[in-house]
Amino acid sequence: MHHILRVVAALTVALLSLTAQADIQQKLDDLEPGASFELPPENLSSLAIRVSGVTVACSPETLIDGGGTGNAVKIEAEGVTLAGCRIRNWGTDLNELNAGVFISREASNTTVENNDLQGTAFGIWLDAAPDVTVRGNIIRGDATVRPNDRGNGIHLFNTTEALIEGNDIRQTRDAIYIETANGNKIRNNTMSDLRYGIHYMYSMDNLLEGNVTRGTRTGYALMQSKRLTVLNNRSENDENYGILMNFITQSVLRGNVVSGVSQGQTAGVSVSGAEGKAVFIYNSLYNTFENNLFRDSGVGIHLTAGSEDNEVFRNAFINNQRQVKYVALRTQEWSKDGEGNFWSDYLGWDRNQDGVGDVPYEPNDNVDRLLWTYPEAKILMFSPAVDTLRWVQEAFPVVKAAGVTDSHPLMSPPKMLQPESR
Amino acid sequence: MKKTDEFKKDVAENGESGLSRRRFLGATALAGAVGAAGLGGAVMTRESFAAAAKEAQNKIHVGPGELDEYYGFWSGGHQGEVRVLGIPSMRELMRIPVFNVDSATGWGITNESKDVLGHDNKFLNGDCHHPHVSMTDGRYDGKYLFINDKANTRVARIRLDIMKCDKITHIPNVQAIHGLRLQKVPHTKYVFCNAEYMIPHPNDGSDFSMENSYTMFNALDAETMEVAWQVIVDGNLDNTDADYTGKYAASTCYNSEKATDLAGTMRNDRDWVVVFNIERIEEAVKNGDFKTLGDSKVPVVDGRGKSRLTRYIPVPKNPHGVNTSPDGKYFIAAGKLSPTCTVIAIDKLDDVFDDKIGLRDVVVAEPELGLGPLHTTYDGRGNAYTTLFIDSQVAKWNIADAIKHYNGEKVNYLRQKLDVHYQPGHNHASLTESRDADGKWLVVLSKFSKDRFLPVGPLHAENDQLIDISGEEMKLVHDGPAFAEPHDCIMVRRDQIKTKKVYTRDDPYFASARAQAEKDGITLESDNKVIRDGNKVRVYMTSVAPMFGLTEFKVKQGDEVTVYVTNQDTIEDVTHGFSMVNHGVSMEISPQQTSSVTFIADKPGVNWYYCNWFCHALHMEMTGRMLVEKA
Repeated sequence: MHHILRVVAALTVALLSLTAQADIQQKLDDLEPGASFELPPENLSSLAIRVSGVTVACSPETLIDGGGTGNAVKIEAEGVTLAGCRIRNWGTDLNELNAGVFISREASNTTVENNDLQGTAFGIWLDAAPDVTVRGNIIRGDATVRPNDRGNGIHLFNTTEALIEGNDIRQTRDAIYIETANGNKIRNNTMSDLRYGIHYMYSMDNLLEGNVTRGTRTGYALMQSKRLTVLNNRSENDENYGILMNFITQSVLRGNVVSGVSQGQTAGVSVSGAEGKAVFIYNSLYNTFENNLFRDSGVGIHLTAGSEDNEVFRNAFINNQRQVKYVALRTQEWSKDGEGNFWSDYLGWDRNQDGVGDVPYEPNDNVDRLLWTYPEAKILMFSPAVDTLRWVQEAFPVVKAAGVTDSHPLMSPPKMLQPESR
Repeated sequence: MKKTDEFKKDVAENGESGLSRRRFLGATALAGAVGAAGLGGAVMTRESFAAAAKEAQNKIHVGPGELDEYYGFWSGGHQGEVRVLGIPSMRELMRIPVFNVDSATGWGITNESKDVLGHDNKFLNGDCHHPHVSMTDGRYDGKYLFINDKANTRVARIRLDIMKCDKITHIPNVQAIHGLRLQKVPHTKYVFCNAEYMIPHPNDGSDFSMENSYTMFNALDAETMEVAWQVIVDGNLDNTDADYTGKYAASTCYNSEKATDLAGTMRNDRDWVVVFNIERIEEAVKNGDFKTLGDSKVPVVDGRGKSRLTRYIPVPKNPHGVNTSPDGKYFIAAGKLSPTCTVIAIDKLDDVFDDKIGLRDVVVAEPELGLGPLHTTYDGRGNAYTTLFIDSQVAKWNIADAIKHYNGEKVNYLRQKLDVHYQPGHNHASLTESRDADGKWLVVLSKFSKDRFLPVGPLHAENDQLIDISGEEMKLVHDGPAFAEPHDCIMVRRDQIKTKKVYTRDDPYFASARAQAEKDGITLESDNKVIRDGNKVRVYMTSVAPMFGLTEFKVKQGDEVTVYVTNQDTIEDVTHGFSMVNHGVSMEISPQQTSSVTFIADKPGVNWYYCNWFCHALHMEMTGRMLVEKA
């Protein structure tokens, strides 16, 4: 009897909350376009917002619980705002693109801000909806799930004019994933403890500004895109690559600070051939690299495969194990209008005190070549034999290997970078 | 320390070439520096260093007069031929025309080649990617090599005893044959191949929508080269491979979305590997559970959705290559847009087909390797080598360790990452498609050579690099420029191929010439006669260096002339040619071969023919005249 009463009680509660839930969804569907609505301070299950122009906010005690399947919130109308909500426990099915917040194609002009999301599959999925703003959200992935079985924090599929700013993303698969999406702004996001900070493919005319990556397996992976503006981003202690550029053209990289990129590791074991590269430039042309700082990494800059006609000046290369790894056969001059870059291992002098070294800096002299081919020769770095080779190179320039030359190396880091350069 | 006057001596010694950079930077310079710095004892001595350098060189160096250890069969890509190289020298030994027209051998010109290409064939091009050698019990048997044609939807077979293409089959009701692999066990009964693009059915212009479009997985009988059956699938198909039991084959799909735009094909987080249950497919065909399409008689079964015949294993993301490990345990799919490879356990496939386990439960590892994984190959020692397109590297990793890592153990599965130049597609290790994978050589076929070679104008060669994988560490030993785009290659031990030195007279290659000669009462081996059949004239002649059996024959203007030449030489390498000046006629006749070519004698007067393959001291004198009477 007692048993039955308990069952009835449980059922009643369930029924009530179900009706309450159905109630909430009904209330949302019944809103006038442009109205505001605050979700009640209780646990709610998955919701869909189908009325245009509405602002849906949450009280501090509201919790939208996806129940472990599907999307937690699906936005299917334009001009919607979703703000201040805690969203948890949405589905784990990556094939179905389960997300904490799924923004459908027709949901243009959506704003998703100041929410707090935690779940396994995608955090916020933008499904080709234009003019979406995703701002100030905290997104956490599920650290108990294998990295490749998690979703990405914010996924931009084929969007335009999106603004992704001020989000704090951790422990998802990639923090921000962007593919075939043009004309977006991604700024001031903080990303750490995940696979790639910004995983960026085939997307043109985008702005990446002021983002920070820490402890990722590649800070910024930029691929097959044109006309990017990459400003003032930071990569701190990432693995493998700080900034990877493959087939990027006509872009500007300015004011970025990449430090401490370490060798790729699996289970704490480093792998040969995977040295940490502050910036890796492959098959990328007509770009401007200016006022960037690359420091304390395995390789400062790895330039390869026909990456030419880039302007590289006023950057600072400080204390990388190898400042420049240049794999090509043609010489490149890295300075502009009499201004080169700052190299922490530059041994030249500046007699006329104009702040520019009197002797060109060549990170790729023949000795470097020898060192790559026969690393055993490192032991000879400061030997008389090597000094002689260097001297011979000076005296007989005909034997110089093609490489990078900085004819106007700076005697100190550019002003803008000085605080970071200590 | 080497003094400056000793350097100057170097310059003098080098004479004309002056101070060469290679010498200056080479092992000698370093060895000299080491010796000079007096550190000989502590580090490598000059002698041991030079010995080590020489030893590394020895393995790749095949001296004049020496034979390579392996045959390498390369696809010619969109150039349409198959090339034979020696490994490790990477010397090109022969070219086998397949889908292209070859002036030297007369491929595409002779009647024998048209018997293979089809007498009504209009295609002068082909796009061949994946060469594979037939197997018995999972080991190369050296009998046939099969290759696909993506451009014109065909599969070709090459007889490896004479290294000539002997059959080409057009696959009906599909477009673009791309991924191709052979059944390994019990032997190559089937050639499996994917048609890459989805088309409407019927494809007659009445409906262009994707809704009614699909593509198919195809199996050809390796002996008859007829299409045995086709399987309709969801999504499209990319590469494929077969297992070591004969029960399963697997193909990757990168367009599960069925999108027609680029963005659309990338939307899904996971596309799939579709596994085919060959046993059940054969059963369905035997039981008559199939339909036919259009006028084709080929049985077509449906492998879409919830079918008994297929399982769609979700794999991230737009996967490309799929490769079977030589121990028969795994299908490994490369994730392309996902920096992972997905390892599928073949021994779990029975259970997934019986619905005892879920689709992803067959995945036993998904190691993260780097950006842009495309293809995987194996050394037979438990390691896999995967090309990374974006990183422009090859990653060597251990399969067992990747499985442990997937199960939560803190184990490193990566062994090494090696830079390649630049951006690799396929890679291929010696004997890797078979049980005998020996882990000696790895070829990485890179798509861009950029500045690795002397510049040759806007069109660049590709770069097929040879890497020594016999030791613990991969070592790049050779850059191999290649024309067009070889895509893939296969390496076979030299003892696995047995070729003929000369033809035998009963070779099926010229069976139709023999049949016609019999009808005309001609003995090819001895007769030099002209047979007139209305306005068709058949000229039969023998050739023995340095003479044609007929040095003169007469026809009327407008006659359709077919010349049959039978090479009666028995000596190896005395190949003759036949070229009729101003008629676009050229062909090869190798010892004991009969070749024939047909043309219209539309130019009255004297028309010279000559032997165009060098055969004899009096080769220049090996000529004849066709006398054409005015109409």
